Amino acid sequence: MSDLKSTNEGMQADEFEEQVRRSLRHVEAPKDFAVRVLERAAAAGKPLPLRPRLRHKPHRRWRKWIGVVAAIVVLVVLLANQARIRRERARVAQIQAQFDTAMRVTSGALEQTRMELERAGVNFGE
Amino acid sequence: MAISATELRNAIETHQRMVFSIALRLTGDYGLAEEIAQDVFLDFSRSADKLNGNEHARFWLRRVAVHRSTDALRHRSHQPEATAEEWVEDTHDHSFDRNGGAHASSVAAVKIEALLLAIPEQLRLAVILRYQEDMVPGEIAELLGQPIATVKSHLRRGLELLRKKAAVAMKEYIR
Repeated sequence: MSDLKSTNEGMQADEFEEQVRRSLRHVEAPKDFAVRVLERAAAAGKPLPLRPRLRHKPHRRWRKWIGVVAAIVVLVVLLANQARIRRERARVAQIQAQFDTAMRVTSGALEQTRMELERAGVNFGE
Repeated sequence: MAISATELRNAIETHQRMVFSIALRLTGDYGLAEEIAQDVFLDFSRSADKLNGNEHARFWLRRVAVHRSTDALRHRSHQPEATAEEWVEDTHDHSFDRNGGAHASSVAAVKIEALLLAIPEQLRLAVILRYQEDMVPGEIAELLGQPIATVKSHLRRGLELLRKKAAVAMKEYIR
């Protein structure tokens, strides 16, 4: 404690304390230290670059996805409609074919009956 | 920035040697000390409007420099104690000689600086604040938020340890 007392109570510090004091003089800061600090301070004080407005970003995304979904729905509806029309046409064609076949069969049967009646002597007055 | 660039420049020019010296003597690393000192002044630029006058600013700068330096020491992997002997040799070649002048002109001064890095951090801090900053134990206690008895104990033990190391490492310089 003698060293502390010597310095704190105004008494003569010993030689070693004086040597420590001389050794611990302030050191010069590096060259251009102030310039570098001021540059960093200026950079820190600049406003941050504007970022895209996040509030509208999801909205735009939704709009894009809504468009895609709508386009897909329209395409599916159109394709389904076309398929339905094709099925209808095929059914109509099938019915037409069945009707034609039925007409041909009926016509043949009628002709056969007429010929048999003519052979039997029935005159249809032609 | 809470203060103007001119005010900040004035503060840097007034206190840069003090802040840099605290960081350098606590860490023993020139590059790290500059980084710490820059960070201290950047903190100062944000807080300067809360400080009243030059003495308050000096107190604040010392305290932040001490805290930032001790934080940096805790993050550093190697302990100065382990390499103290090598550092005595290295210091003369690379570290403080950059500044030239009276500081590096004395081999004894350089050796004491190197030996200072070989004593525990808390003791080193007390010695630096006492002999570099010329603060009395009461002021050191206030700055560090420690009881004055602790500060006095650290000072006494730090100086004793330094004296013992110096007696071995630099007996030709010690009278």
